[in-house]
Amino acid sequence: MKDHSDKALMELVVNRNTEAFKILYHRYHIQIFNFIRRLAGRRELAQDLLQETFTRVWFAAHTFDLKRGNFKGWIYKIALNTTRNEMSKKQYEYHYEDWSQICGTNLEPYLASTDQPDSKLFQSELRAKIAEALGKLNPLFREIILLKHYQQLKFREIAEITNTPEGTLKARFHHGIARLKELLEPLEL
Amino acid sequence: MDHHNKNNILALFYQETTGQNQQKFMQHIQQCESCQEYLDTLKKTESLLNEWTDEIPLTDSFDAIMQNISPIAIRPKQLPPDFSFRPIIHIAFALAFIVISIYLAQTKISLLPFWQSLKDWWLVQAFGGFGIVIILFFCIGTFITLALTPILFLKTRQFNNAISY
Repeated sequence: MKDHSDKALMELVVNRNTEAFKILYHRYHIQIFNFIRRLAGRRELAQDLLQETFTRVWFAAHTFDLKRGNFKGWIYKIALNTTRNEMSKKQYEYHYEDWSQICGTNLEPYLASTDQPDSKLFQSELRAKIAEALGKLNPLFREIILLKHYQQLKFREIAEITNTPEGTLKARFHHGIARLKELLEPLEL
Repeated sequence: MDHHNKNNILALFYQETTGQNQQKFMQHIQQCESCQEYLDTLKKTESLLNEWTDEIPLTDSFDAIMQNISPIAIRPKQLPPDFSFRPIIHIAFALAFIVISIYLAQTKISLLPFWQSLKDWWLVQAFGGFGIVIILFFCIGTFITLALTPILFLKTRQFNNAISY
């Protein structure tokens, strides 16, 4: 079953096959988790929203268009809407944890390891600065930059996920990049 | 630099362009300083963003999801609420209020001079004074509802938009 396409697995999920659901989860959970993590800015919240996203996938499986649906786009749409709803509901300010939280020891096991402590510290610091810069972006700009850069989606796919015309998306992307350039300037961009 | 050019650079940078266009635009970039600058920004931004590597979620996430979707976790169907007289009393009050209002309005209207001239009108003869006032109330109510519909529709849409993001 592991070689099945997403569509074939979704067909099984519609018929309440938990094994197929598990395979889909393992195929996408890291991508989705990291997308939410970078969008919402908090690891614990991303963990909850990842669960919420996959729970929604299970319960809304029958709404997935098996004939022409693109599962990747569909699950990103669910993840994006789940995160947006959560952020609007709890009136977060869409900000990221501060530097110390990101570099905190509790996070170390999850991050890519490097042997030299100095380089580890530098990497953590750099990561925190990038997170901070992304956190300062307008959420609309951030969504597109994350979907484009980290998730490697095409603009056409992002347009479908965000329900936004491609031209508008690209314009937002340019604005986002310009703002990011300003924010990352101290890092010698 | 206009958006058209920037979009071309994006297409080139993210390899979302056809071979012919790619070559054409590559030639342009070699001569255009602002395009080169934007391409450089994209490259630098990308390399910096790559420093924020992926993290791994907790391993027990899937178990938590399975718990959420297990039949035990599914909430039982909501039972219909117990029978209550409250809505019936509310409706009765509302109806009584409307009937009394119409009756009072009809008694006032029937005292007006123009009512005498309307008395012989076939509609008044068919429905009676009380019936005509009911129709009048109904028409006014419908008019107010229809007039408010677009406003309520727009307000609801605004509200939905606000909560969806």
